[in-house]
Amino acid sequence: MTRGHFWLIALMCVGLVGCQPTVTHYDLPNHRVQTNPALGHPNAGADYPAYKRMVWGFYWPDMPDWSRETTSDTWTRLRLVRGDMVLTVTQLSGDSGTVLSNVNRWRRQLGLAPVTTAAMIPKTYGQTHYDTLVLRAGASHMRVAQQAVGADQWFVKLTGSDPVAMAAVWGEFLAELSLTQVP
Amino acid sequence: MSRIGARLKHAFHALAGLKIAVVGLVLGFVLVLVGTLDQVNLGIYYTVKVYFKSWWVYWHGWPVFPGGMSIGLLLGVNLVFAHIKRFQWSMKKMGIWLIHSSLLVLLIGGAISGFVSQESQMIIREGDTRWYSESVHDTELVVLHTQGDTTRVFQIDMANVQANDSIAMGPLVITVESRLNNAILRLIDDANRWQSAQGAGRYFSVEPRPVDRRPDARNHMALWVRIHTQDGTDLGRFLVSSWLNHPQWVGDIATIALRPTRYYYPYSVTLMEFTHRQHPGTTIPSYFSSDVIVTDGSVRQPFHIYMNHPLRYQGVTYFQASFDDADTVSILQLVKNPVWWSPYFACLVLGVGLVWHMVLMMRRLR
Repeated sequence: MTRGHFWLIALMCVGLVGCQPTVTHYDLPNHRVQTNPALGHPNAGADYPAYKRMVWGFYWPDMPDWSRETTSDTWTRLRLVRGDMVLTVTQLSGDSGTVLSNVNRWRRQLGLAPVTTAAMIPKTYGQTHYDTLVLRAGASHMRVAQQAVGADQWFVKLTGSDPVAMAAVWGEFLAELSLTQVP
Repeated sequence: MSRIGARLKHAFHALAGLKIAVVGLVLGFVLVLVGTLDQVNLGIYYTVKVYFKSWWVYWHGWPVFPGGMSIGLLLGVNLVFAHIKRFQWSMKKMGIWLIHSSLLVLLIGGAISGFVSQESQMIIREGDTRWYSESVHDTELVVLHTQGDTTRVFQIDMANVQANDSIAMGPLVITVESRLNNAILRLIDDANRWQSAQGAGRYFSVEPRPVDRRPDARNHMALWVRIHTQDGTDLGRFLVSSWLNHPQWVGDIATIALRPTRYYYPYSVTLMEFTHRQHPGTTIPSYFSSDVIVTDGSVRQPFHIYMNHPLRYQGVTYFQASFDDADTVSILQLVKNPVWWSPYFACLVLGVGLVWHMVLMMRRLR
């Protein structure tokens, strides 16, 4: 190897060493960092709900015995199935219909005749207030809860044939359901 | 003459020689040929980055061919040395001299532009204020350490980070266990979670995706890292990804995030209104614009940015690029290139040189 080769190889090594990682730093006033709030602080409690809200836009409790199904419509945000029980969470923006039109839509789904006046019953599950409705047509049962979040209307609907099992799931689910956006 | 002096003279003559010019041009020809063919696989952005804005072209982690920067440097040095060696100050040679100088300006300008120019996007919602823009292609790993009213941001470009690298970033030492250049994260919504991981790593599975090399594509990098404090305390194994929109806490010491590389500015931009008009009866945009206020210290200046009418402020050009989210988000393309004038200047010098040389030749032919 000539000296020329030696210097050429040395130059290449210098070039490669020059590409090693370097950490830089700069200081910003806190208000200029402007990034989404950090998740998972040890004092902030469980961070899983925050991550779930980040992904889905809302949080619902884990339902280990239920299977999640995908749907083709864009407004159904969640569809869970266990046996003949089906639980859906739907988000509608803009005009989501009047109470009467919504109630008659649900009645029609159960094969019931339409009504001319309708009202939903305000109820609190956990810390959250909902307008609720319970319908029955023979062995078929339906529970509906509605909540307004900003300009959106959220509907939770549970159908099935076992009213006792449905009641147990219903209260537990709605108490933990959080339709607010990620912190 | 001393031995060192003799060697320097020998090296000078070698570098000024025609052989070097021919070798440089042949290498450049091969590089352009291979780079152009590989553009089918890499797309234009990655081709430029891998072949032309690099010192070396790597294959399986090994440098196998000089990159555009090396060849440009070689040709530039050759051109300068050849001129020094053969330079004769005469009006006859002035045209040739100007033509070669313009090539040198092009080479140097291109090299400087490759190093210092920035292209990024400012994605801004109506009513929001931004102090920074974000790269479309580059990703940075940051550790944010807040003390009082100030946050110290430790940053490293992910282009320089590989698996098994150990990086000291402020209060943390981060060891990269694995790296995926594009991946999506799926929330594990059953009890079978990664109990061995901390933070987001407990709740997400990582699915690798092929790198999308289209010019405007956004890839989401994901890293599994093990984090220690500077005194060696193990804080656990974390998953960081640019797919996550939020930084995550590492204990209560600092936050960590993988995100598009940010460029901060000493002024802010507030989007007052975004306007989007379409041709009647179609969804084809006929006009879209952003009304912004630039706040620089105590000075607030309104600007109207619209198609082909960018805002130029402190060396950064803001183009209206796109929009999103039901016309409430404006996407501005930011270009910062301090040597934008070099090709224009080179062309001017080249033109003068060619005219000069042509006039001299014509006079000689008479």
